[in-house]
Amino acid sequence: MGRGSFIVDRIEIHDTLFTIHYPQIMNLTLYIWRQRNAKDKGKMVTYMADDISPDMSFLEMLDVVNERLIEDNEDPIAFDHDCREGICGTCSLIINGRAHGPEKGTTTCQLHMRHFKDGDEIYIEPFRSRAFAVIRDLVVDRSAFDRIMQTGGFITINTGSPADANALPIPKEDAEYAMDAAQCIGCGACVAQCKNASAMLFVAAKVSQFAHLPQGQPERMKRVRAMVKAMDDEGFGNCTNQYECEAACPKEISVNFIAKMNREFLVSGLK
Amino acid sequence: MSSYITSSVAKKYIMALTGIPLMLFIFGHMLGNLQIFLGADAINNYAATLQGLGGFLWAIRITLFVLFITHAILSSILYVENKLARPVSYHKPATVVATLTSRTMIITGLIIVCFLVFHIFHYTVQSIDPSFKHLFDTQGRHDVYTMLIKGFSNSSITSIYLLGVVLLGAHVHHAAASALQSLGLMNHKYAKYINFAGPLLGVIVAVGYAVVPLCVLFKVIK
Repeated sequence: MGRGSFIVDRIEIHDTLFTIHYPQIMNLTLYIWRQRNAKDKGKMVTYMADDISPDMSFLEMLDVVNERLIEDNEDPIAFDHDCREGICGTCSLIINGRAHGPEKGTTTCQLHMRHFKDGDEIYIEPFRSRAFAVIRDLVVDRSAFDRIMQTGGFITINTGSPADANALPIPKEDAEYAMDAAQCIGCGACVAQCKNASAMLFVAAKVSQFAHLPQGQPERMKRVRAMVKAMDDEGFGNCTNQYECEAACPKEISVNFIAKMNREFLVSGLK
Repeated sequence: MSSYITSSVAKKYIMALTGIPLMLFIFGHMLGNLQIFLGADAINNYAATLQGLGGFLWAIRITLFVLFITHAILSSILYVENKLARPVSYHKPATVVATLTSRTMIITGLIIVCFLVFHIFHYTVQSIDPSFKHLFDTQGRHDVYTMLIKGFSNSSITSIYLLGVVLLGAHVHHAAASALQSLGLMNHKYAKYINFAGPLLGVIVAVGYAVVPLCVLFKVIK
């Protein structure tokens, strides 16, 4: 139960003290980007979100707003969502200028309304990048990430039966390092928060993940060259080491992986 | 190979590889300036030694100029590319951790270019105050000590220098650690030390350069 979710009142009836819990509600003003399609110019539209429970997730709050819009015969606000468990990387949104909102290491679907105050004004915008075209309202096309992955974000193997467990020993430190990078869910928050709309953190996480595993070694140099080229071709910006990406990443991927990718790319140029 | 050089990662290398020698020069120049506190003989001797390098001095100057121009032009290209990467900006943008110095590199860089031109015309070409050309000490060396005292006794000139060196320090504040990150020399073991030492270097540069004009202006050095 969230802190401040209830207003507690005590009343006395016939010498007996009763404690009453009223659910606390919030009234919010939302400024939301509305855009009918990719060609539409789009604009910010103001909505009043009344009677919002602090225990709702941010997306549940938008669901409530949408239900009311549908009741009023208006178009609901389009936004991306899927697992709502913080693991799929589908939800997005720039909330008051911050990718996935104000909470550190949290996806929008795991962000709860208790982190806002009654009367707050909330600006909700789509992830902005030349490489992420707006499809409708808050939904953007993040297939640029898929195309980058297709150039090297995999390990080429012969298909067949899975290898025996522990057939290929991997030092624990390496496995943990690779896992830290593999936590990237490819949501695009790094791009959205970066002042330059750079995708370095995403690509660095994918490159580093495989560079630290024995399975990733044969294609290591080819991978970093191909993925960096694909990233540049998609029109992402350049990294200026401001580390907004790391701060916005819901999986807290470290910018040290960008340094790792820079090393990998340097070595690939020498070979 | 051409796609390698024009890649976003290689551009970071070039920014770092052109910036690091410039930072070493900035630090060396600062240590040279601070010799004013050792007296007129020390700094005049230092200046005479530099002038005595002849062709080697010009080789250093040309190298620094090429590095500077490359750094400036590439940063301008990167600035334009980065602006194009986000054609529609946010209605309510927010900054989480990016420092003010990191967000103003293009502005501090442009002002440093202007300051550098002024500085070269002031103390190297000596065309802003031509009387500097006729200052010699008792040993016949160019009297750099008196030139600096004359130059920084003017509060307007000193103000320009203070602005220039503080912005130079601000530029280095972000640049030093950033260069190492760009070259892939950062990792989880050293990151906290580098991220502490880099900004500190910027403060040292600003203070190290500002202390000379301030000491002259307030007559600590006469």
